[in-house]
Amino acid sequence: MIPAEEFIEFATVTSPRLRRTAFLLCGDWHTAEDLAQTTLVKVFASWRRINRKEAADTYATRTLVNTYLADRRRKRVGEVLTATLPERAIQPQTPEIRVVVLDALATLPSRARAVVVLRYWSDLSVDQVAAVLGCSAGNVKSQSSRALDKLRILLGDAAAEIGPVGQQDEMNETMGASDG
Amino acid sequence: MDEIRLRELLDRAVASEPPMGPIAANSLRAGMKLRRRRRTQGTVACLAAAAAALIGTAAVAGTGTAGNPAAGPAKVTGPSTVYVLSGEGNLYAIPNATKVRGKKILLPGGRQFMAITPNGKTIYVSGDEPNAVIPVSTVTDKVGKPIEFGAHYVPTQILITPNGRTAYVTDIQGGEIYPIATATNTVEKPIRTGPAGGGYYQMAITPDGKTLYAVSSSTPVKGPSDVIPIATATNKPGKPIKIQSMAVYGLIMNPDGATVYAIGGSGAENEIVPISTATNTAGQPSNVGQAGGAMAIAPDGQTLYLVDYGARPEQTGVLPFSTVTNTPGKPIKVTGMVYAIAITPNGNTAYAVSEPRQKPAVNCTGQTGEVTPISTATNLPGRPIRVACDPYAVAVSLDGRTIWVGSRNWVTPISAATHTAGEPIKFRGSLVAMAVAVTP
Repeated sequence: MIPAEEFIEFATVTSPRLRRTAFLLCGDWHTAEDLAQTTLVKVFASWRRINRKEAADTYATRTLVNTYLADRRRKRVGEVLTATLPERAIQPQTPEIRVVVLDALATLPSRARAVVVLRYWSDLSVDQVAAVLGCSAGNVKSQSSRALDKLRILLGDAAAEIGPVGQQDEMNETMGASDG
Repeated sequence: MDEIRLRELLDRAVASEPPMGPIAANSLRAGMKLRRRRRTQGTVACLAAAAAALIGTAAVAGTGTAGNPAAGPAKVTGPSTVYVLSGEGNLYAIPNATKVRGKKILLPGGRQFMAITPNGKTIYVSGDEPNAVIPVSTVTDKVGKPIEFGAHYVPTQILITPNGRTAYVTDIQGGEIYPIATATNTVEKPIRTGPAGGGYYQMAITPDGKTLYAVSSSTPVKGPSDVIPIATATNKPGKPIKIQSMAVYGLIMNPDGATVYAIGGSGAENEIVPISTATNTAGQPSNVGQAGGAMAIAPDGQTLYLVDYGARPEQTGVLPFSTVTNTPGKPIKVTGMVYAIAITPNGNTAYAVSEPRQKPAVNCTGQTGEVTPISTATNLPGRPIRVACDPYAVAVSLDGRTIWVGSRNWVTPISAATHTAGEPIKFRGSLVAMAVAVTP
């Protein structure tokens, strides 16, 4: 298979996962698509050097997270922080949970948010997240522990208000467990 | 259960996914343009490096390995200074003699790692935005010109050779190691020891500085891995040492230089593999359960101390591992999550920093962290010393008299003689790295 065909196959398979991961990182589908596409552009530019194609997935994840972190740092300068969140369009599927989860994620620092998404959505181990972020396992555990603590406070209260009967107990039970 | 529930919430957050555009085809077109641009930039960079080499000055002299944990315990003596780096790029110097924080040195972008030359005169700090290593003079506090490797390469770990002439920098994206000549602060020819995406993460160097060892992990991260020996005289990689059973997360050199230990995991549990530096062959792996990550080796090289994450929160602590018999000892109980460990230069005491609080606070206040002294003779823990919340790093002054503990926003000096904490020193930002070096 020639490299371009090989890459197209890789990109077709990987792009949905990259876009969803990017969405959890940035909270906006348009930006997520931009992040996923920028990531794949960078991956293609290095495609011939990625000899072990099974490594391409991790390479793409690293590129995505680094692109997101760099993007956040650039935007931080021009962003104006406000006390109230902007209004959001109503979504057809489970809008409350979606909005509440995204708002909670938005309160986390960029690297902590990346840790949460990679560990608890992408199912990477502590060491895998450390490898992606280029930091120590202790750093990942520390960041995920602090992030979970914050999410437990934010999502615990919100779930009590919007979740169905019985969901509050489950939320408290599950979010209350310490991070190992 | 905790993780499953959070995963469910995150799944629901992405449930509103709109249709996707032609990402794959667009990426291919844009990627081809980027490749052409990089090729042009690469030619310019090579010419610049060649010109810099022609006007290079004499190399920095020095001995010892201060600031290079992977190279073994520090061998430099004399007055020392502890350096504290926050992720926001704030760098502070605190002389051990005065324990008074110096003025903030502000570095651009986000900074993650640092290493200090053995003579203590220059700190190299890696990070992103710019994706570069930034040299900082500890004599003048002057921030040097960022040393860049390319827009898309993120420098991470830095290891400086014992003679101080070269700083080796790993890049988690490109699968290359970049040597920086510290005399000129120019990048020499990158060392390609594996494919891009290989994930260079840790390095270690022999005490004589002749051989550098680097890890190239495969994906999935369960392994196998290659540990690659690199002759520092030529910067040429040797034959990879195959570690079949696991993905290597860390390397640590025995002070005698005869063995480098690879620590990693294959899924549920971690292992240690000794590698002979004489033959570059791997020995038999030893299971160390959940231990791994942060570690320290005693100056006599006979015991490795590993942070033990434990199968359950109440089982966290420190695991001693005999390098003589290649077997783990009895786990040493330390309350809370242990984040770092350091050993005094005389080898008598190991210090483990931990956060016993089960639920870390959003706002970090109070003296909730702990430092537990461990007698290396008996491997028994002493009475914990309270320090500022969320302790993350520990370092010992070169004279062995002060233990410096770095917490989220504070640094606390502890007397090694009395095991009492001094006045905590506050700094701006969140701690990412701390290192001790000889005062220049």
